[in-house]
Amino acid sequence: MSLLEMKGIKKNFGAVQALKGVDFQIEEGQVIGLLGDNGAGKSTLIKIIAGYYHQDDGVIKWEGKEIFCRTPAESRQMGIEVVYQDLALVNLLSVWRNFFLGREIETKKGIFKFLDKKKMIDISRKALQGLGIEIPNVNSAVAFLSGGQRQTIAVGRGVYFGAKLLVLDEPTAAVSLREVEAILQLIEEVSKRGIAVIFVAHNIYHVHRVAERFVILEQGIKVADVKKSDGYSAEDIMDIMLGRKQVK
Amino acid sequence: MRTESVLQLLRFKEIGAIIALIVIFAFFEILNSQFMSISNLTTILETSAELGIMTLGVNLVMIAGEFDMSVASIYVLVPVIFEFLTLSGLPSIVSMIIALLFAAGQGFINGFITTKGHIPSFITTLGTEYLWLGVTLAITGGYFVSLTKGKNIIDIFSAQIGSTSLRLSILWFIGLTIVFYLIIEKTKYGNRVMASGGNPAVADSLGVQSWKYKTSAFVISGITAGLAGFALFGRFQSIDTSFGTGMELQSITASVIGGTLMTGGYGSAFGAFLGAIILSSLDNGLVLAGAPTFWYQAFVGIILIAAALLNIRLKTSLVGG
Ligand SMILES: Nc1ncnc2c1ncn2[C@@H]1O[C@H](COP(=O)(O)OP(=O)(O)OP(=O)(O)O)[C@@H](O)[C@H]1O
Ligand SMILES: [Mg+2]
Repeated sequence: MSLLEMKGIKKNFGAVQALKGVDFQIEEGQVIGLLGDNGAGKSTLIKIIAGYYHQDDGVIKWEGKEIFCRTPAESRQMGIEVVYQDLALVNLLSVWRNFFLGREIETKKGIFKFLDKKKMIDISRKALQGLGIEIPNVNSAVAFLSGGQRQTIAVGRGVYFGAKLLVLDEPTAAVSLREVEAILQLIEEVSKRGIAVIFVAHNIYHVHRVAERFVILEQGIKVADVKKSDGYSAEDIMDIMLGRKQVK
Repeated sequence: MRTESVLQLLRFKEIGAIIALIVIFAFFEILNSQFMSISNLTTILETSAELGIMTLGVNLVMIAGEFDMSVASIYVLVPVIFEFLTLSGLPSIVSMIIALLFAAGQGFINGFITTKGHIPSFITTLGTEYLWLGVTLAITGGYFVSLTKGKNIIDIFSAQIGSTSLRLSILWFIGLTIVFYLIIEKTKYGNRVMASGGNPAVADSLGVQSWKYKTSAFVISGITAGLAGFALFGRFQSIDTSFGTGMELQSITASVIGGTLMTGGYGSAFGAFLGAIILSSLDNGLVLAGAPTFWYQAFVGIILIAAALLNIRLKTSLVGG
């Protein structure tokens, strides 16, 4: 039984057919690189997984059970955590406030309930440290942090709240080299814990290092779905994407 | 390095307001040594209360990333509704509750139209501001409305404290400032209001329904405008629409002086408190200095722009762009 199984997914935006019947599945703890040129439909597929869009046609099964329309919040509750590049955190809020946004811990003082700030600071610091994420001060606003740090905080948050599937939309785009390394390490760490990862990227080398399977979309159609263990090098994948090579 | 130190200061939300307060006090004290006398300071406090109570709600709406321009007419209409209900024979407590329910309800309408209709709240509330102003004029015929039967209950907002010249409204102002501080900084609700103002798309994606938090801020702002209106009604014993003139801009100015960002997601109740006191000090200081009162209007305009310019620079160094 796959963790997530999608069959014949179609999605149109007016006259644009963003997805033309895509099959996709991912197993527990698997890391998949989702590749494709601009406009191939990667983000659309991810947003359908997130429950942000709903497919026009096709079936989605989560842990073997068919799932229907859900909101992003419901998807999250099921264990699907999507980290959008600029839609992950509120810049003006501190790290711990972001970490617990929508899932705040409260403490009772008489008849009133207040935020349990101490506890949330403590938990968020430890959860991030446990994943090897270095954040100097969880009390500072997210705006003070680099793009890479922001991504890792969003990932750490998902892991802490029990995500089973983590979806990262271009986490390594516009991020410094050292931070790319930190993000790749984080993906490896996360998958060791049995969490599945879908990793969207344009840079094949980033994906190739951490992913065990590669799914390539082209104009809304899946053109390849191959395993690294079948001997696909980064160059092979690139050649397939450029149409210079067929799937073996 | 320079931006780094600016950022350090920004962590302290009210810094701008404190500096402004010191500068204004020093300036007026030099102009007139009466300015810092106890009796004048109590006058400043007293006149700041009505604007201040209103500002706390307006400030919350701004933290939620919206504007509430309708407070100026609600400020007058709520006491007018109260007066007419008591005259119709309803008990004053019931009249007060109904008037406040109206304040809350119009706030809900502001929020609902803004968030569900996807139009800027500046426009929504400018529209409702005119709507309620028109309604008030229609009800009152443009005349003063005097406080009659409801005097006792209005006293809880505006009676004099003992033999001092201070009114209860100042205690409401201080008390509500503390309540708003706790709500914004210490509660789940406040956390979500800030998130809804800072980045509603992120809030929504985390299951925080930003429209509910924005709308609730409008409801609260309606209620505080109503409470401020009661304090005003008690102080003057009569009211007409001219009392509201410019109050929406003054409360926005007070919020911005207090460090609240026009773009939402960041602000402080203590900042709003100081902002209201700064505006009433300015008003008072200009009068003491013998300047014609219309200069106050001009100063409010200049200060609003200056404070906004300062805030936007601080914000740019905080979050970029
Ligand atoms: N909300 C939308 N409304 C209209 N068209 C859309 C919408 N979202 C996506 N599309 C179209 O659907 C197609 C697929 O877009 P999508 O964003 O999924 O591509 P992508 O693979 O993520 O591309 P990129 O690598 O540039 O991020 C494109 O032609 C795009 O213009
Ligand atoms: Mg995309």
